[in-house]
Amino acid sequence: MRFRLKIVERMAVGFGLMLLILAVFAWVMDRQTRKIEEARRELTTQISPLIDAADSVAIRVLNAGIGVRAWALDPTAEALLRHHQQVVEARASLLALELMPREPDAEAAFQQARPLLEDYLAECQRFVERGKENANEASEQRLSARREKALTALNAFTKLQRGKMNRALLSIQGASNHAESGTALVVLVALLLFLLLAVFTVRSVREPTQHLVDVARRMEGGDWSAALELARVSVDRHARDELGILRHAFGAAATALEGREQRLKSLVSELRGKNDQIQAQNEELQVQNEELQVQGEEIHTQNEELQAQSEEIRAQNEELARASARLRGQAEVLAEEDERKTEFLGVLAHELRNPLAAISNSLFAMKRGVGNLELRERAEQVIERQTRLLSRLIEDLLDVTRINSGKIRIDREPVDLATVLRSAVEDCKIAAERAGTRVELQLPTQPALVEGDPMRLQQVMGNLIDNAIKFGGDKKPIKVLLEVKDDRSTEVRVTDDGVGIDAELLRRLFVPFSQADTSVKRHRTGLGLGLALVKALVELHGGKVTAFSEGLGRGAEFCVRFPAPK
Amino acid sequence: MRILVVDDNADVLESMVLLLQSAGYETQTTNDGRKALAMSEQPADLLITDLFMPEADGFELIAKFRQRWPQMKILVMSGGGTVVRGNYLALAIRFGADATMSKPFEPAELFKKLEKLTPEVH
Repeated sequence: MRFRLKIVERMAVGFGLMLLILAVFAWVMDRQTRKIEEARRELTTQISPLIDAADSVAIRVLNAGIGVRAWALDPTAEALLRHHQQVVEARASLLALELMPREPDAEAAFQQARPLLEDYLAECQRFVERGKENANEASEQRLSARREKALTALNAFTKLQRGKMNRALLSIQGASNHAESGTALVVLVALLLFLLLAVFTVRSVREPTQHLVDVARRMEGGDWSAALELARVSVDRHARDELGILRHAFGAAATALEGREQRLKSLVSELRGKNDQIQAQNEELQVQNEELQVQGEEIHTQNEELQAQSEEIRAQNEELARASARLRGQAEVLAEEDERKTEFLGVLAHELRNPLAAISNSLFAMKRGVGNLELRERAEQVIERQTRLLSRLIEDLLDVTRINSGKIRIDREPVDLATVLRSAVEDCKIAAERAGTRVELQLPTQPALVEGDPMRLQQVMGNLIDNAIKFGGDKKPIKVLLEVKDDRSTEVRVTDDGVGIDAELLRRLFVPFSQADTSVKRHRTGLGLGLALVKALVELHGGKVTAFSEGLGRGAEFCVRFPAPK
Repeated sequence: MRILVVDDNADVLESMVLLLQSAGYETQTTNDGRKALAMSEQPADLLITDLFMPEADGFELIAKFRQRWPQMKILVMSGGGTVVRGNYLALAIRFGADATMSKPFEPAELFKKLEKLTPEVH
């Protein structure tokens, strides 16, 4: 895009013009100077020296005149010499003048003056030569008159020359004046032109600049309308110069900024709007929050209630669990009891078989071998024995039932356990022999009195010893020890070295229907009631029975204690 | 005919002896199965044994006797164990017994079984 460099151009133009003017001026000045030079030259080369010479002649001539006068007054040798000198000098200067070129118009004047001058000088000499005595006032006056004439003629010449010189001077002056006025004119013109240019430039620049400044100021103040206006006007319309571009650029920038500002404004308003939205949402959230808080508190209290309820339920559950456990325990106990009872019934039934089989066989044998006495006797014995056994079993059974229902009664009379034991041991003698063992009885020196039922006590002791025989080994004898303690309580210990009792059975030893070993490997028959009965009877007597065993194969010891009789 | 009776119960054993002897049989008894097992030669023509005995197991006795003396007849009489359930009599047959009876039994039954087992003798 071509554009005019308004300002620069103008400045260039201005400067150009200036230069031109200066050049012109210089040329003019040069001419003038030349003229002046010429004049001066003329003056220096020709006229001036002439005038000087003429003046010099005049002065010398005058001097000569003065010299004459001086001599006249004081005619000394010096004065004379001086006069001579002066005349010579005057003549010399006249000669010099004569030698100088002269203008034709001045020549005539000179030719007129010269002889007069020479004449005077000669006269002066003659005056002096004549001597003082001849010098009188009249001669002096004549001399002076001559002098006057000569000088007047010289003067005329000088005047002519002077006139020339004046003319030359005038000419110089004129040139000089011309130069002055020319300079003044040029300066004026230059100034004017410059002013004009300046004015025009300033005007052409000022307006847009001012406008721009104004626009800028307004923008500063916040009013962008003017700036935007600039943009609307096309570049072409603006003068195609820097300012125009600047204005347009300004306008464009302003537009761009305006645009951005608008966008910013819209963004800001958007944001504000969003902010308001968010604010509103925030407030909503706050409200919801508060609601939630309230709900939360509600939930909290509900929670606490639930927790309390939960605790209750837990406690109840625990109770239930405990009760359940108790019931379970009880059920187990009952089940165990039941099982034991069932087992017991099984054992009972089983225990009946052998006696019944023996009795049945014996009866048949008796019937069959009717004449055989030995056979009959043996059969009778078997029947007797087995019947007794059955009786005992049933008695035991009934005893246990009675104990269970609390219907058993015992007599209370003073009984010496020694007697009881002796009797029990005696009863078991046969059984012991048959088992290949014997019973050792150790009795105290004093009576071992117990308040109780002799028959039952015998039952107890018999049972314990029987068991010892049953389950005891055949290596060592069974020991029965009776002791009377310091407090008059009594203790019976039945020790055997037999199969022993394992820890498991030891626990349930005195429980009804448990046996040392209910499996196949039993020594003798038995319902397992014995020890239960023993325990019950002992306790009825106010005593206590305990069993000890180190384990299977290590024997056992049963210990019964009775309190002192009252 | 000789009969060996094995039972751990003394009176049962005694009554068996009386019964058999009254019927004219020769009897040999032991209440300890181990003693029966220790016998080197065939002790009898027929064995009557209990099953559940403390020292020697009746089943073992049956099995061993059957192995040693195949032609010997074995009759089992048992009242069962105290806690034993199940068909121990059938088991005894499997072990090699020829016949079984449960205690108590009708003596007539016993004699009938004996006749059946040893017909050549009767």
